[in-house]
Amino acid sequence: MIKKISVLLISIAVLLAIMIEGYTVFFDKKDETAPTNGQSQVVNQSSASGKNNGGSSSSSSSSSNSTSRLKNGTYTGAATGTEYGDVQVKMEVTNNKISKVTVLKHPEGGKSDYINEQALPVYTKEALAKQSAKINQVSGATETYKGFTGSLQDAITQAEK
Amino acid sequence: MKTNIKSVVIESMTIPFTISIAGHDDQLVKQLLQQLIQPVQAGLEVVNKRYSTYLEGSLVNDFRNGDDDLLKRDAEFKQVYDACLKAKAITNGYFDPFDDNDLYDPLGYVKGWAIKRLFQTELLPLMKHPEIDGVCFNGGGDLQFAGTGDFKWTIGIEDPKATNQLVASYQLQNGGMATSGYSKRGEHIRVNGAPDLLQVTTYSSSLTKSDIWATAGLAAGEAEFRRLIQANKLTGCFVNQNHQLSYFSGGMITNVE
Repeated sequence: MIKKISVLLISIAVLLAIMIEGYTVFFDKKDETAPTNGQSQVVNQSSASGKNNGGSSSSSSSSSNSTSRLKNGTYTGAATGTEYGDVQVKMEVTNNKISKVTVLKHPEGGKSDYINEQALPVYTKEALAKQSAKINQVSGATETYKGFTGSLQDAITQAEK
Repeated sequence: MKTNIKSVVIESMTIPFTISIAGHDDQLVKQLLQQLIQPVQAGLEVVNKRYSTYLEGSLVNDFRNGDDDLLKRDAEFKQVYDACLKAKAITNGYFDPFDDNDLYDPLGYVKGWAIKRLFQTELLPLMKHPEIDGVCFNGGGDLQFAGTGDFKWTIGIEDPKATNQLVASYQLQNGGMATSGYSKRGEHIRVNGAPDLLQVTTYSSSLTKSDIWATAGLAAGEAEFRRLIQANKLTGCFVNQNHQLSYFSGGMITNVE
C-alpha cells in the first residue's frame, strides 16, 4: 500500500518536473546515478523524428515550455534521497503519455530504518511444521561449503533447480 | 500464474553463495539465473582478491604490513575501512574489525557488504521484469532480498544445536538478514561480555547493518545485547546458552517460554 502511494506520488512528481523543466532534467542529472549499475541507466530514447503522432511537438526545441506534451521514450531519473533511502524511478512514455513508472532502487538504509513490514517470527512446533514446507531460504551460522552439502539450504536449492 | 523459485549455488572463499529468483515465467527465470553466474562469481573473486587476509598480496595484507597509504590511493578501500570503524563505534566496540594483534581484519564486514553490493548491481535490476516476483542473494546464511506484489521470502532460522532444524521462521518481502554463531567463518568474534548466547539473528533494510549487529550481539552477551537491542531499536531473534529463544522487533524483546 505504502509502495503504491509512493509510486503514485513519485509519478506525479516526475510529471510535474517534466512539465516545468522539460524532459532534459533527466539527462542532466544522469551522472548522479550510481555508476556501478549500468543497466538502470537510460535504456532507450526513441528517435525524435517520425514517432510523434502530434506533428507540432516533434520539432520543438528542448528549451521551449510552450507544450506540455511528453516525448516518447524511456527515462531514468537520478537517485533521489528520501528519509528512508534512495529512490530511483524509470518512466516510459508512449503516445506522449506516461505509460509505466517503475521504482528501480528500493528504500535502503537511511536514518530511520524503514522496513516495509512487521517482522515477527513463528516459532511454535505446530506453526514451524506448517511453514517448513514453504521455507525457501535459511539464515544460519554454518557456512562452509563442506557443511553446506546435506544442509537444509542445500536440500531447498536442489529442489529449486 | 504460479510463482516458482529457482536457485543456483556458487562457491567462493569456501562459502556457498545461493542466488535465488522467484518468478512466474520459468523460462525467463532460468535464463536470468544462468546469466547471473558469471558476473556474480567474478564480483566475489574481486572482493576476495582485495580483502582476503588469507591471500598474499591482497590490499588488506598490504595494509596489515604497513602500507597506510592505501587509504589515500584506493577510495573503495577507504570506504570499507571507514564503514568498519563506524560499525565499531555504533556497536560500542562489540563489532571489532581488528584482530587479537590489533591488525585490521575486515572479513566480518566485507562478506555482507559484498553480498549487498552484488545484490544491488546484479540481482535488483531484474525486478524491472514484470514476470519476476523476487530476488535473493544468500552467502552462507546471510542474505539480502527483495520481492513485489504478494510474494514474500520464507526464511528459516537454523537451530544452533541441530543445524538441520529450525528455531523460527520469518516471512518477509524486503531487507537483509544475518545470523552469527560460533561456527561462523571469517569472523573474529572476541567475546567481551558473557559468552552466554549461542546464536544471534538480526533483520533490517540492509545486510551490512544486520551483519554487524548479529556479530556484536554474540560478542556482547545476553544482558548487554538486551540493552543494545532496546537502545538501537533492533529486530531479530537470539538463542541463549539454555537453548531458549527470544525475539525482538523494533527494540521490544519477547522471551519465548
